[in-house]
Amino acid sequence: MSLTLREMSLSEAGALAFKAARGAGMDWGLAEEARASVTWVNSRGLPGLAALLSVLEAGLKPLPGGGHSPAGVVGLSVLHAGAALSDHGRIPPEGLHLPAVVGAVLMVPFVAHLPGVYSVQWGTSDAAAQVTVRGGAEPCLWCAGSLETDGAARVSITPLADTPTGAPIARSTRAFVHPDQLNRLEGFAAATYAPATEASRARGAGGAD
Amino acid sequence: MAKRVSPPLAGAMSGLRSPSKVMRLERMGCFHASPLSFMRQLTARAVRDDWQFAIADWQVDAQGVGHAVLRAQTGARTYSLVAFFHDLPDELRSDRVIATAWDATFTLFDGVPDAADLARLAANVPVQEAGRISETELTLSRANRSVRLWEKVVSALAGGHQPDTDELGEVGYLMRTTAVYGSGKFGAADYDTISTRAEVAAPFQAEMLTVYLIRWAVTELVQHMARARAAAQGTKAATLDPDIARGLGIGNSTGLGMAPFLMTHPKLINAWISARETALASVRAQNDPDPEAWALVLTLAQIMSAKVATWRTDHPRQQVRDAGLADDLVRIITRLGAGVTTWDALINWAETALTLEGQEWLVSAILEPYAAQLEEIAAEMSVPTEAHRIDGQMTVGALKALIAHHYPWAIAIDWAAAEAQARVWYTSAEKLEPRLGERSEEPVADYEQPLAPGRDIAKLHAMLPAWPEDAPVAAFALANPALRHALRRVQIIAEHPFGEIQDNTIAADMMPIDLLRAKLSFFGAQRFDPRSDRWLRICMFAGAPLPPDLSAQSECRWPYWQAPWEGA
Repeated sequence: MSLTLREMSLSEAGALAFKAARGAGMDWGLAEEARASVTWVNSRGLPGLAALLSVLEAGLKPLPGGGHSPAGVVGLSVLHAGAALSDHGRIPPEGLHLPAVVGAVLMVPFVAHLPGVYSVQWGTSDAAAQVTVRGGAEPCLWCAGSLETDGAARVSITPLADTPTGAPIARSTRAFVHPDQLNRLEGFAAATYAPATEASRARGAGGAD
Repeated sequence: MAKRVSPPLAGAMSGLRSPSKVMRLERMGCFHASPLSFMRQLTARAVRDDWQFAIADWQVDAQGVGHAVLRAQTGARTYSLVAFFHDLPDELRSDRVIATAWDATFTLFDGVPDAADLARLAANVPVQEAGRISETELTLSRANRSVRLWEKVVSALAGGHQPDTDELGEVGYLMRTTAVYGSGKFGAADYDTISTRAEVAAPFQAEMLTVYLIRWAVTELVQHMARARAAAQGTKAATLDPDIARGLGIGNSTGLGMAPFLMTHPKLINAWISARETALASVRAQNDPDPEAWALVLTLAQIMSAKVATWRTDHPRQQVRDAGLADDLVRIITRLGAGVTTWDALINWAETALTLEGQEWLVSAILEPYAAQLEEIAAEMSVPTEAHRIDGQMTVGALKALIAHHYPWAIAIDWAAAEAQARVWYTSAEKLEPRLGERSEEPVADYEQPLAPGRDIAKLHAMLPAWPEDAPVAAFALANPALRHALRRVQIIAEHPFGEIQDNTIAADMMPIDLLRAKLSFFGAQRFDPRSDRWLRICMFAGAPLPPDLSAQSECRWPYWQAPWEGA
């Protein structure tokens, strides 16, 4: 794996997330959630594209037709769960606990638009991460631990009474991803592109395409 | 000065034309530039804030090959157009996106580039999509010379005389851009990173500044090459007549790549259209128009009539439209000349007496006397790019009511009919660009992009009767993930009603050029010349003063400035 990260604009990262999620078989509405979540996570300097790749690779089975489907995900994927949480609009006082979530950092944006302060924790036997979110119109984040946990993690989202005392993490205007992860995401995205035919070449898109 | 318009209507829908009237493709395909157009916003701000322009670097040889840096100093910041001029063999010159070489390539640098920046840009900008730019660049663009004009203009000037203005008028530009990428494309800075800067906060201002500076660079290049050629011959070149230079714009070829933008940015499109409609409503609300303002619109109609007479298009549909506009302008001139009534009466008359071309030109024209007072409305034309969260607590009953209110046109379409779903928007693997295919003729349906909101919302509507009226849509969304995007769309349009085209965007008879013109009119484009149903050529900044000549006087209503070939 190359250690040189590829720098992208946030809109490029979001567009790639949208196409990759769709290419992996997600419905358009969920692909929109992937775009929003990845863009948001990257804008906080966190590894959104890498997390999405782990979601797509962990939960997708090849279909006979050559496409992919999220049907192999055990339970709800992080994006399904995040979308359901976002739609529901609140977290119960006892919190929300999910047993096995891949790409857990992608859950954070869905929590961040809810009013209030929450702890989002996820961990495996090897690593643990904890993010405190003060949600609402101007969300703030405080992070601890390794955010790039591999594999499925147990996720707990619980209300907090107070925000941490330290400075929240700074916003980032760029996204960064390992080149080989980028290639794999582009591989998913490529499933949304139609192979050229003589008819499409003939029609083109006009003089400027 | 004409009277001040009423304050903006602050979002009130009363007095506005309805979305069901405005947001039809046939009408949108007749939109004209207005004082709210983004080119006008750029030049107006440049005058207001006393921007300073300079050619900071010019390293170009006698063949016109080299690079240049043209600066715009806006006060707090400097923006630099970095231009690379190439020696492109004729056989490689293509406007299509599949091209890999161009006569000139450009980027708009955020600040003043140093030697290292220029070296990096020299390695990346000339190859366009095959290279990468960075957060210090705001746009990436390229242009080709007009084969018909370039050599004629160089040789005329080198020979000591002016080029033939009739030929210039037929084309209207010396170079045409084939793409102006911005907002994060190919590694450039995202719009959000500059959206708080007043000078580029309005939509597409970085792109418009790029084109404005390209036009200046092109004018300098043609003069440079003429001088070099004359010097080699031991003679002295003529200086391009300033009126000719001002009359020439930058051409642009635009195809399907731009079309999906109107479907994928409903909040932004709502902001643009509702700004124009709000401005129109504010003007129509005046009960006693200033006679000077009335006389100004009459003058503009006379000028427009002269300009339309010079337009050329081979597209049969546009020929009919241009002829209709020419007839409309005669009627408008007669009507305005008969005496002052009210703007509202004038627009009401237009809706019964004129073609859509004439109606929409008049809408844009009656804003002109009040251009200086539209700043507050223009400021509402940008929106944040943040995602739209679904309101899951909305009830199914409320969702049904919204669909009934905003999408009766979609529900009324027989989507089972082959002609209703004849087309497919898809992305080609070859160039990763949007394409429009024929569903029954090409194997592209599996790759369809979500660019048929009417069909998808009709599907959503058909599913809702099975759900209790008081059920939250969150439950519906969880059970119907395939319709999640349609549900979100309805909620967006409920708050942004001018954000939806109220026509079938995959119909057999849908004309993509209508989509393109609607967007380009907001840019401020002129001389719409469809070359097929799928792409068109336009002209940008024709009539605008070049940067060194920019002043309050020269900037005022520059689209109505008349070039020598326009009856000046």
